[in-house]
Order: sequence, then structure tokens, then C-alpha cells
Amino acid sequence: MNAIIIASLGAIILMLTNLFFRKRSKLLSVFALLVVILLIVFNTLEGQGLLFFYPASLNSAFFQFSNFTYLFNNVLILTFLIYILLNKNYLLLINPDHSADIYALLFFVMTGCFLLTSYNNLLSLFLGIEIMTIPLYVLAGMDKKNQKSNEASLKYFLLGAFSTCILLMGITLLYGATGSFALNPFNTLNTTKLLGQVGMLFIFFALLFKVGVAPFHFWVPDVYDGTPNVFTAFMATIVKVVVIIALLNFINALTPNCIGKSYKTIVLFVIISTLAIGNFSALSQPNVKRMMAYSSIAQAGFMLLALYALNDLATQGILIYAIVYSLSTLTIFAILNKFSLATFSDFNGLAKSQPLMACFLTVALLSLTGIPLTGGFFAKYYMLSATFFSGGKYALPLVIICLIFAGISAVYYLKVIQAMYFTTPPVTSDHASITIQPLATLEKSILLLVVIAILFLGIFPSIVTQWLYF
Amino acid sequence: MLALLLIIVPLLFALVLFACKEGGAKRIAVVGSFINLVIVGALLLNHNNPYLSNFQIDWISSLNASFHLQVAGLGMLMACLVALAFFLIILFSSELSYKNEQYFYGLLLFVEAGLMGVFFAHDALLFYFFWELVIIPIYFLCSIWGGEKRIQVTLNFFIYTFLGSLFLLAALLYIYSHTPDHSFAWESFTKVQLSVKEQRVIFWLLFIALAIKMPVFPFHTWQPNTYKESPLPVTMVLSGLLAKMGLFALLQWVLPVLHNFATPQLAIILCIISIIYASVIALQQGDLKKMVAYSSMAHIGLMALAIFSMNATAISGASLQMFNHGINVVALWMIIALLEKKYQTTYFTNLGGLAKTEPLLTLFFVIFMLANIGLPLTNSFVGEFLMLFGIFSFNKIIALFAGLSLILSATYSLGAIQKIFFGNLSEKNKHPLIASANARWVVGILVIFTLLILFFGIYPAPLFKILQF
Repeated sequence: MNAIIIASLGAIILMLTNLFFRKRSKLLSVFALLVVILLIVFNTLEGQGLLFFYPASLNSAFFQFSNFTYLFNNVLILTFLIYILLNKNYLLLINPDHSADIYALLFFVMTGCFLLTSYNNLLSLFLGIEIMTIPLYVLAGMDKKNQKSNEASLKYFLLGAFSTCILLMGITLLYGATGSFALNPFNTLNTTKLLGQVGMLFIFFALLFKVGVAPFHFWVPDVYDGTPNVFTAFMATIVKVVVIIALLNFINALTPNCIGKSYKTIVLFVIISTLAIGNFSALSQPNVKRMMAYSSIAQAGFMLLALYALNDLATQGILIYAIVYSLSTLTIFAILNKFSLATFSDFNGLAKSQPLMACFLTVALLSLTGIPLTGGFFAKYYMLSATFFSGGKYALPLVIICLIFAGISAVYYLKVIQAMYFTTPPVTSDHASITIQPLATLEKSILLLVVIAILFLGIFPSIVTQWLYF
Repeated sequence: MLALLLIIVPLLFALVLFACKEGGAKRIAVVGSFINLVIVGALLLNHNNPYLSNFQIDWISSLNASFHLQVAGLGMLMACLVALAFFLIILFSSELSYKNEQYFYGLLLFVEAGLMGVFFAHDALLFYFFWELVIIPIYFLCSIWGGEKRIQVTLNFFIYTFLGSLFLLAALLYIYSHTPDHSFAWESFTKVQLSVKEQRVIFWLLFIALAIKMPVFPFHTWQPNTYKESPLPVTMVLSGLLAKMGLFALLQWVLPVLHNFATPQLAIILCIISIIYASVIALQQGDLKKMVAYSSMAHIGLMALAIFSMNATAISGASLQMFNHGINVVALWMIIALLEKKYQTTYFTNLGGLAKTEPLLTLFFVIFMLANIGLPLTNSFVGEFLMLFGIFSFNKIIALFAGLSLILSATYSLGAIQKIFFGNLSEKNKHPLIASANARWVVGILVIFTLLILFFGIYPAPLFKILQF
């Protein structure tokens, strides 16, 4: 609860600051960081039972807070902190006149995220989704002069609005079937009616659309590609992960009999098609940013395994997956910031010219591949293990298919590593070598910490999951 | 405790090497691998002391995975091979110079640490962890210091083995989810009760994973090119040690898990095809490197066949042969390295008549080749005899095919000797570009190999004793 309130307050204050501090943009990031630190402190305190704001009841009709919620909120806030630290210079550069607005929008997105981790009601779900996505439409088009950015924003908005319609339709149908917006098993018990089933399916599909998984993935590559790098990093990490959590909350709130038998079949289809489309398309992309867009689709496919398994291990798994995936992706995008175009050949010989950058990128890429000693291994491990424990005759074939796709993903991740370490840049290329800026000291130290965290999670993943049971 | 040291020492030395300058890298690497050899020696003497030979701490308690290293017969034998081979390979590598040596040797020691982990791990998750860790440094070693087509070939190798290990992961996870106490410990793995149908699925998953590593037909396509394109010290590691990981996993992690399980016919047939196919291709190779690569594949196929026959004699023969084949094949690659360095080629057509100019090299090559064939008095005779004996009592027709491999092996091995060292000496090779006499210590290394081959050929009892640990 504290997180929601502080984030929205921070956003409102930031919106107003543009009136007074137009020229002093340095102060902005300091203020933003301050709000983030407040968020961490108060969210943690609330998790320990120390309330700052006193709503009537914490587990009200609209929200439900559990250990997992607090823990996941903290993960989000920490990721956001790292995001700001890595990107603060670029956030100011995108649109210097509106840098305060950018921060305000980011905090609004965070507010939406906190709503989505704790909603207990279809209304708060809808509110969360809207508060989260509307600022994102604006952010996607923040680079006003750039046509691609405009295109991305428009596409994102149109398709997003469409999916919101579906979400609303689903909510309406479910309301019609149960007579209540509340999302708890007792209420949805009698949704065996066709009306309720269709409603649930609509909500499910609308959320899948927001995650951006097949067959609802068409907007992802264009939007990710057109959106300024810094916001792509934000959308691909925090936003994506949060919607998956929202989906998981939604499914967990339903009783098994109202989900119906076909649920697992649908999820199975979604997972396999997501993995197939994400991985195969990523193989043939000419530039790294677009490859990352498709790879994020594929990674989301792995995260959806939690929706298939729906057990304790899956909850632990999605937590680790969210952390590791976010950290790795943020690292990669922080380095992509340094490139103007980021085609594969731009990375040629990076290990020679920027050894540290190449090293960070290698760890992040290996982590996304799922190599042991990086957190990515345990992220995938938990997901697959959860799938096995959920049982059923499809578990083993599903795991094998997932693993084959994990193997395929190694091809395109390694393409970058190969370019960096084993290919020498052509001597004549004049533009390629100039456009790579070195990492700033702050970025270096933050990235170093992130990489150490990734490696540490690759050896002791239980450091995160043990907090779930405090 | 000592087993843990065997992993930590090379890791530490690898880190030191990464940090240090190019100059003294060689010496540090030699010292590191020598220390490991000494530790293995100490472990051999103290294998009965549980405090020294066993190490266990909690790792991920929520998954019941522990960091558990235990010294057991086959693992100990393989550890001896690893420590010995790495010491000699690193010592030998000084003869071949590589740029950025510190990284080269650092990565090599990294591989050694990973291999030690694989052979000592007593916990399935830990085992898998090390299993995958081994290929990362190999990937970098081959891609940076390899031959012309290295990048494509190495990517191919990496994807192949990575996919293979993912199958291994799937199988291990499946077994884990069926263990009575949901634990990764080796003991709980052996207690798993799976239905015949489940066992068959698991067997094939594991078979694919391990067959890629060994390699067995039809999963071998990465192997000849990788052996050819890798820098030679890495080829030695690949063929002498990494190939044994698959066989080791078969003995340590597959057979104990599957109870009352008869090997599917298809697996045995694939092994036979592997043996015959590799031998026939080796016969027709014009390149010594590829010939040795295929010959190695044929030998590994024979060992896999022996293990799949589930006959106790054959299995003990295969275990023995895993050690001896490692020694022989590393020795052979060393000769190839010397030839390549001096004559810049390993194609038979460009070589010939070298016996006149290189009497010493000829002598060693003949000894190593004879050991490769498995002649009595050489080390592989004992293992091959036991394997064939075991396979014979398992099935006589299969034994016939297995025996055929010996004849084919003799044909191509002797053919290679003839083509390289006898015949006419070409004009170009009379005055090679690099007219180096082999350094005395290189001869020393080769003498060590010769002694090992002869000693274990005449008196294999110490190896059997280690297997009993």
C-alpha cells in the first residue's frame, strides 16, 4: 500500500516540478532516486508490519498483500533503482524540455505496477493496467523528432487500446456471470457458466497481449525497435515481468474447476508458439535491439511456464526468473545505449577496445542463455522443475521442447559474443569505431554490481527464495 | 577435503593467470597443474580417510542439493588421468607458443577444475553444474586460438553439446522429481523406482546427451572438425578427457538409476555402427588429425558398447580403457603437434619418409600407434581384452563386430605409420622451415608416456586397485 501511495505522490510532485525547475535537470534524478529509496524503505517496513499509511484494512476488497507481494515489489523497486542509475543521463537527453515529465510518467508506470502486484479485484486490475500502459504510450513516442518513435507510439497505443477493450469486455462478462468484481475463489465458484468462461478467457488473452507473447506478439518487435532505447529497457523488463505476475495472480485467484480442463491446453499452446516464434525470429535479426525484442518474447515464453505449473516451485521460479531476466536485460540495454545502431558487426572486436563492456555483456548474454554459474540457469531450472512437479503426461514433452528452444537461443546470443571476442573489426570502418562511447564510472560500478549479482544468483539462488517464507 | 582442493587450486591459479602479465604465465600454469598432481597423489594414499576424501556442505537446502564431493573408484581413476594429462599437456604446450598465453592457460586450468568437479560430484545438480561449466572455457579456447574455420566449427560444437546437456538436465530433473525424498544426492537417485516405460524415455534422453559428448553415431558430426580446428592442447583435452565424461556419466549416473533395465537394441546397434563407421572413415582419411579423431571415436564406441552390454567384465575393461585410451590419445596428439609445428601440415600426401630425418619421433609414434591398436604389452591390451571377453559372453555376433574394430584399427594405424615415416622423403621436408631439434624435455614427456604405456600394459594391477576404492 505504501508503495502505491509514495509512487503516485512522487509522480505528482515530479509533474509539478517542471514548472519550477525547468533548467535544473540534475536535481530531478536526485529527487527520483530519493523517492525510490523511500519506496524501498517503506515497502520493506510494511512487509515487516510497520504501516505508514493506515487504510481501513490491508486485505481489503481491492488489494491483497502477501509476503510475495512485498518481496516482488522490492524486486521491482530495486530493478527500477538500477534502471535509473544506469539510464539517468539518457533519460535527460531524450527530450530535454520534458525530463521532469519523463520521470513523472515513469513513476506513474511504477504505481500501476504496484497495483498489479497486489490487486484483488477486477477494477483494481483494470486501473493498474491503465495507469501502467497509458504513460507507456507517451514514453514510446517521447523522441518526438524521430519518425520511428512516433510510429511505435501510435502502434502501441492503437493495439494497446484494442486489448484494453478486450480486457474490459472480459471484466464485464465476468461481472455478468458472478455479479461482483471481487476476485476470490468463493466469488468465481459459479463461473462454470459460458458467460464467465468467455469473460475469463478474454481477460486472460488481454493480459497475454500486454505481456506480448504469441499469438499476441505482433506489436512487440516494432514497438521495441522504435521506442527510444531507455524506454525499451523499461518496457522489456519491469513492465513485462509485472504483467506476468498479474496473470499469475489472476489464475491463482480462480478455483481449479472454474479454470476448466482446456486451460492447460491453451497455456501449452501459448508457451510453445511463443518459444517458437520468439526464437526462430530472433535468429535472423540484423540488429541486436530487434534481436533483444524477439528474445524477450522467447524469455516470456519461459516465464509462462509458471502459469502452466501453478505450484510453489513456480512461484519461487518466477521470482528468480524476473530478477535475473531484468538484471541481464538491463545490462544489455545499458550497453546498447552506447551504440548508435547496434548491428551485429558493430560489436566486432569490442573485447579489444572495451574489454570490461564486453565482459559484462558476455555474462548477461550467457545468463539469458541459461548457462550454469549465471542466474539464468537457475531461473530456467526452477521453471522446468516446477513443470515436472506439476505432473501430467505433457510435462516431459513440454520440458524437452523448452530445452530445445533454449538450445536454439544460444545461437543468437552467442552471435554477439562471437562478434565481440573472435572477430576483428575491419580496418577501414570509420563510423563503427567512433560511435561506441565508453562506460562512465558510475555505470561501470553499477554494472559490476549487477553482474556480480547475476553470478551470485547462479550459485546461491535460495538467497532470494528464502525471503518468501519469512 | 582434498577433493575440494583439486577443484579450488586450478580455479585459483586460473584467476591468478587472468590477472597476471603474459611473461610468467607458462610457469604459473605448470606449477598449478603440478600441485594438482601432487594432491591427487596424496588423495590416492589417503583415500580411506573420510575426512580427506569426502566433502559435503549444504548448497541449496530448499532443493535438497548439497555440495557433495566424494572420492570413488572410477572417479578417482579419472581424476588421476585428468591431473596427469593436464600436467603433461601444459608442460608440452610451452613447445607451441600462443599469444595472450595467460588467458590460454587460465582457461585450460578452468577446464581442469570443471573436470575434477564432474568426476567427484556426488550430487546430481552439482554434477550437471560442472558438466556444463567445462564447455564454456573450451568454447573460448577453440574460438580464439583455433584454426581457420574455428568460429563456425566451435559454434557448431557448442550448440551440439549445449543441447546435449539440456537433455541431460531434463533427464536429471525427471529423475529428481521421482526420488523418494526429492533430493539430488546420488544415493536417492539410485533408489528411484521408475516404470519400464519411464526408464526407456529417460534412457533415451540420457543416451542423446551422452552420445553427443562421447560421441556416438549419429551425434558425432561436430567431432572431427572440432578436433581438427581446435588448438592441439585443447584437442588433447577434448579427446583424452572430455570424451570420457560421457562414459563416466553412463557408469556413474545412468546404470545405477535404471534397475532391471535391458539396453535397447537400437543403442547397441548405434554403438556398433559408430565403431565400424568411424574405423572405415579413418581408413580413408588423408589427414592424420582426422584419422586420429575418427580412430578415437571408434575406440569410444567400443567402450560404450562394453558398458551397454551390462557385463561386469566388460564394464571393468571399459573403465580401465577409459584411463588408458586417455593416455594413448594424448600422446598421439602430441606427436601430431610436433609434426604440424615442424612441417606445417598433417596431410599424408605432404609427409613421408620422415623415419630418415626423425628417428626418435618415429620410434615414439610407432609405440603410441601400437598402443592405440591394443597390442599385448601395451596398456590398452588389458582393457580391450576384458571388453571383448565381456561382450563375447553377452552376445557373440556383437563381439564379432567389436573384434572387427581391432583389425580395422591395426590397418589404419599401421597405414599411417607407413605413409608418414616410410616411403620417399619429399624435397620440401628435407629442409623444413623450422629446423628445431626437439627440446630435451619434450623427449622427456614422450618417454614418460612410453613408460606409462608399457608399465600399465605389463602390470595393470594398480589401476584395478584404484577402481576398487
